[in-house]
Amino acid sequence: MFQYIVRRILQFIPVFLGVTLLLFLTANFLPGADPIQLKMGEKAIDPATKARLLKDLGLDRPWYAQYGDYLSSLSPIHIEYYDGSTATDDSKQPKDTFPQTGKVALVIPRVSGPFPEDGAINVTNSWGKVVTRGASGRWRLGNLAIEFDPPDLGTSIYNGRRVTDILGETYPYTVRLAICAIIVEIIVGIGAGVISATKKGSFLDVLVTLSTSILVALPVFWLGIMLQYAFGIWLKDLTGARFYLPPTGASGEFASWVYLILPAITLAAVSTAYAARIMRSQLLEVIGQDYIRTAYAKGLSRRKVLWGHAMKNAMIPVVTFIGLDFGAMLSGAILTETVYNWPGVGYTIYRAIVGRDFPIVYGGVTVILFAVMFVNLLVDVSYAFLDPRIRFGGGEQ
Amino acid sequence: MSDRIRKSLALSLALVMVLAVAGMGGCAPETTETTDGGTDGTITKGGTMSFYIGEPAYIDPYNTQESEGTEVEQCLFDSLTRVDPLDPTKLMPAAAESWESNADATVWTFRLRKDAKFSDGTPVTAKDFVYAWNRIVNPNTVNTLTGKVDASIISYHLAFVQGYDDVVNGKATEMSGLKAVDDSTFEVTLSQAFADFAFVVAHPALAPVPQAAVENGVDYNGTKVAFGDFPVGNGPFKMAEPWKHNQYIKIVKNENYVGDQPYIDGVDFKIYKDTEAAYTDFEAGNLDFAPIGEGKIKLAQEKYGTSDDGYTVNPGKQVVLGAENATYYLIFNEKDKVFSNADIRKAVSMAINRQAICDTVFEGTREPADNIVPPGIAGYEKGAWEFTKYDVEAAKKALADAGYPEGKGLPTIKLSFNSGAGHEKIMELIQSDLKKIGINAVFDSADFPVYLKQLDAGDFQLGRLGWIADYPIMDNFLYPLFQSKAGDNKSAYSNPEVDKALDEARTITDDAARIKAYQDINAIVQANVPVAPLMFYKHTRVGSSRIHDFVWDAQGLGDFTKVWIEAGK
Amino acid sequence: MARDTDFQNTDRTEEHPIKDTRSGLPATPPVTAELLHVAHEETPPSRTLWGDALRRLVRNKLAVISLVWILIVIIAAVTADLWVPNHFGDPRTIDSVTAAANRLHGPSAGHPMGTDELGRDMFGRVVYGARTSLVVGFTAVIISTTIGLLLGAFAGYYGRLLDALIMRTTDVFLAFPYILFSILILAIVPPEARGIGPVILAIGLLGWPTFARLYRGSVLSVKENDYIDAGRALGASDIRLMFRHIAPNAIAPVIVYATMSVGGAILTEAALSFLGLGIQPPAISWGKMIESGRGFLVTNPGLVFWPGLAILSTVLAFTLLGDGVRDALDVKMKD
Repeated sequence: MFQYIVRRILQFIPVFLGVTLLLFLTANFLPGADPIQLKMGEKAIDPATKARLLKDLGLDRPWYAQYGDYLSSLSPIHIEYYDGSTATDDSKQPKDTFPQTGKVALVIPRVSGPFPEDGAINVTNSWGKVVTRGASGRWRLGNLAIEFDPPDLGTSIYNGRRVTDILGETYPYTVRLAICAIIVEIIVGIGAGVISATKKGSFLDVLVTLSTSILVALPVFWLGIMLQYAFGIWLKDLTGARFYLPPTGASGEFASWVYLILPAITLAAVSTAYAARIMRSQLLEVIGQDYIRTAYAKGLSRRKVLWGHAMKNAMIPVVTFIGLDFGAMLSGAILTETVYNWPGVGYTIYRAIVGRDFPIVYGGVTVILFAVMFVNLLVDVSYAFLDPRIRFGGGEQ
Repeated sequence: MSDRIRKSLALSLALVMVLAVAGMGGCAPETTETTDGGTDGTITKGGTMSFYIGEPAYIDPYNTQESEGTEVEQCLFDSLTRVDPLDPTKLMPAAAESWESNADATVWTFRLRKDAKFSDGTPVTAKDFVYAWNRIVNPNTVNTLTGKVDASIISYHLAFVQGYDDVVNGKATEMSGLKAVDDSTFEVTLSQAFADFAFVVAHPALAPVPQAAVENGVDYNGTKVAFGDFPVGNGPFKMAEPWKHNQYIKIVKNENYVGDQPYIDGVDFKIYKDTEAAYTDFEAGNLDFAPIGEGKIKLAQEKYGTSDDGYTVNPGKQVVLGAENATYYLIFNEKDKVFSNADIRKAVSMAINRQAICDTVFEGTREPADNIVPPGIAGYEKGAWEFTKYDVEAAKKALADAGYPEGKGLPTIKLSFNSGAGHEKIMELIQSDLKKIGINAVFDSADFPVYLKQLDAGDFQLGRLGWIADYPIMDNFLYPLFQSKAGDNKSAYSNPEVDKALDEARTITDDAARIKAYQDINAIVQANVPVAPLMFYKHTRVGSSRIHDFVWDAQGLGDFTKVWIEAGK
Repeated sequence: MARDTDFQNTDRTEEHPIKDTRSGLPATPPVTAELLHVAHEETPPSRTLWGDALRRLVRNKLAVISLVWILIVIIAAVTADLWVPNHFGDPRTIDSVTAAANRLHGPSAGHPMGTDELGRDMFGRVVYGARTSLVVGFTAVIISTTIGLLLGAFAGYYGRLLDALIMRTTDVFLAFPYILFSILILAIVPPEARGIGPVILAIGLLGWPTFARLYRGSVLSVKENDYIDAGRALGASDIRLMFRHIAPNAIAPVIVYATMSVGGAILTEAALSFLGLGIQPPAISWGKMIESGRGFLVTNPGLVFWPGLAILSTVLAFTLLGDGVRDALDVKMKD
């Protein structure tokens, strides 16, 4: 079991590196992406200032070096070698050889200067980048410093706000929406699937099959707008237009759970249809199998067979689907968020791409990847518990 | 320069140099007068007004550059003077109780109110003005939001002050023309005569700031908050809590305010990503003042009634459609190989059916522009820009004169604009009008910061902007847009004759003669067609039925000192 | 019980529409066990397999209706130039002189779906919008399928390092938030090149991993058959084995998935255009129409309703046709 989890975590590493690398490469080719000019607005910038700013931001180096910086800034653990020299003499620093990739680096960055005893300091590491170190603590091992600092996602190019702050404001909205959507998906999806399977061929079954087909073909944003029309305009007198309002009140706090209903339905619609379909086909499949027939033959009641035996096995793929779907929802739903003016993380990243605010894009995608990975891991673990072969086998071989 | 009709983000980023004309400061009425909207003729005190804005770029006065931030900032700060909200040609006292200039209008003396205080209780002195103004001009000023050096882009307001160039060029850190004679006497020496300087100092960004709070931050519930998130000012309101980015800004009455207290307890500026959502929220009763959504102006008029003067909101007369001192125009890049040809510029300008844009996209509320200067400004002449007339045949002829009969041989041009701000439909109309004379255009839209960068870099062919007057004078339309070195001259228009005449006109002290001089300059500029004026802006906002006497002025700023909220609503 | 084991062994992402729901966007249907199942058939190849399948397909009423609807949409889109401008006015351009008078009309004989906010006939725009959707849908899927088939074939046939490399690449692509990635790709495109081409590429280039995985799994199971070993023993080349012997028996799930994916690609195009990054005016796209009509929901809901219905009906047709094709090809399911 433990081995299985470790394997899953290790599998995530190449995916994470691949995705972030892909992101960097793509962003590297974006036109109009001169971050200095973006920051400075319409001011003319003299080349010297520009060079200085580029250097400050670490943007004067090749993309792979920047990629290394980015990975490095994500790690909470940093190891650095202080050479103990008293002067910070640039000439002593080693040449920029290859980017530092990660904190527990194969090559430990070397810093000119005495070992700092306490507190946060700004140091220039051996790749010429100025970084803050030791804000949360520092351990000494000879001249090696092991330092703990929270991951740093940088600051927005547009207004200089910390990306962690921006994501911290938006992520709760995404999570709330995802939770509500997943509740809809569980109740409606599984419910419809079970009804449909147990009453195969009935009117309800046809209804479920047909409506899931339609839901799967629905443009999400259109569904959102149509729901707004239905509840906000048609049924306005009935609902008081409360159903499709922006989620924040003047207090900035989440105004009411009522606001969640329509966005959650919109976001859940397609997945609910899939969940119902999977539930139905799984249940039908299990019901047709030998051991169920045996159970009936043993004289067990239909109810007991269905809930005691069939459901248990049929649920595994459904639970997996819903779990992974939750992970997917955590990465933000751009369309639903756009239609409902929902201040979530998907919409934020989308605006950042359009506005060329790369730190938000990088930071946002990173956080999303971790959230998705975490949920997927939970799903895998629960899956492992549900499936005896993994539990006893210690992993797939 | 903002399109007020839709979607705030672009607006909020617009380099709008907005003049504060909303009523702040020391001139609140001495007595509570009866008002036409009041049920029993008495003003009720208390209540909190909720107000739509887009996320501001800055609310620290040193860089309030766009309408969203200015709306908040003008509540927190009083500048030396203010413009009468309902009559922009008149000035009223604010932080200064009186002012005078020497005979040739080069030295200005402002006498400050002696008992004035910032909201944290520290007194307002002439030194605070000196500090605040130098801060705007100094290129090494630190942005209080980010803690990094971030020069203000609105320093040009003070370009008349002696010593401005030295500070901008880094030769000095303080302008030699600013002098705190004593605590309550502020003297400004100009490098050239400017009879209307008292209008300039009404700009909300030119307010005093307390140095200690700017540099050390502000105490809020035991923690230090950056001044950029919690400005401390001398205005009728103060921050209730730090700016909640992308959510809200809450302000409350400032008990330390030297002028009369506002009737309302405070204002909640609710931050929206788009205006449609704000209007929806308004209709649900969650907002007191909001922009009217696209295509809903007529409906709103039927439902809420229209304001008599176009600016004042009272129950049953809630939709404000008054004219703004603002023009929407297309910019030709004169450095572009296609648009360096004046005939092509003329052809484009004449090919556009401006009336159709006003009627379809703006439900007839806007007016087609026939001049870069809007009608509300003294010196406006009807039809002064001759190529603004819709004339397809003349446009075709101009294109043929340019050497491209029916557009043959002309490459496809890029039509640049900022996305998400409701410009696309205007551009669709323009695109199809251009097609009719044989010009093919493709869209190039980007978010506002990116778009502005493109304009500044000259990386465009045909772009758009809106220009709203900083000060309601003709100079403010001609100098910034057409002086060859001006930052907002995105067309790269350069005419030595115009440059010279613009500088000369500023020194003319006789009003009539000065206006005539500007009209002559306007005539020269229009013949060169550096831009194509499209529309004059109109307000399209609506207030709730519980607010009384709320004035939303021609500069797009609200007067929060006189508005009152009906009891029990 | 073999089924469960297979389910277990296929990589997790394969069974779930991660890239779809992640963006709130059903870009492509999830590869469910139901679908994968086809790959595990070990029926020997039959000359009449395809003929049987066709016969079964024709008997499926929903599939036939869907096919007919798709044909109607295709014919209408192809012939639009011949009849739309004559009867309803040219919906591709704006007449600025009459725009104000003609805007926002309700349905009438001359304008069955009314007119839009710039005075253009809605019905004509919906018909022309089909062109964009169909072109994007088909070409994007052809691109994804081609890449996916090639990589999937190599991965499945050669296995080992190549397989691992290709499968890890698909991991990366599938882990990336799908619509964000297409937005990122479209943001790279310079304005003068914007339009239908980049949209097709963005959708097509991001869609291949699922095809590759599906086909790989399919190839893996077919590869084990005796007749392949026999072919190899007879000296058939790898390429020949891959294309002549494995492909006909392994391609069924890909065909099913491709049919459904056309609908998915149409949805993605609509979504990207809705966000303003896809099709640019004056080209007409259903998604873009919904975006620009949104402001008129109170007075003219038709501006949003009709293009949405067009998307829904077309995508639904492709999905149902896909279901039909699956049932027709799936030997086991016909029992």
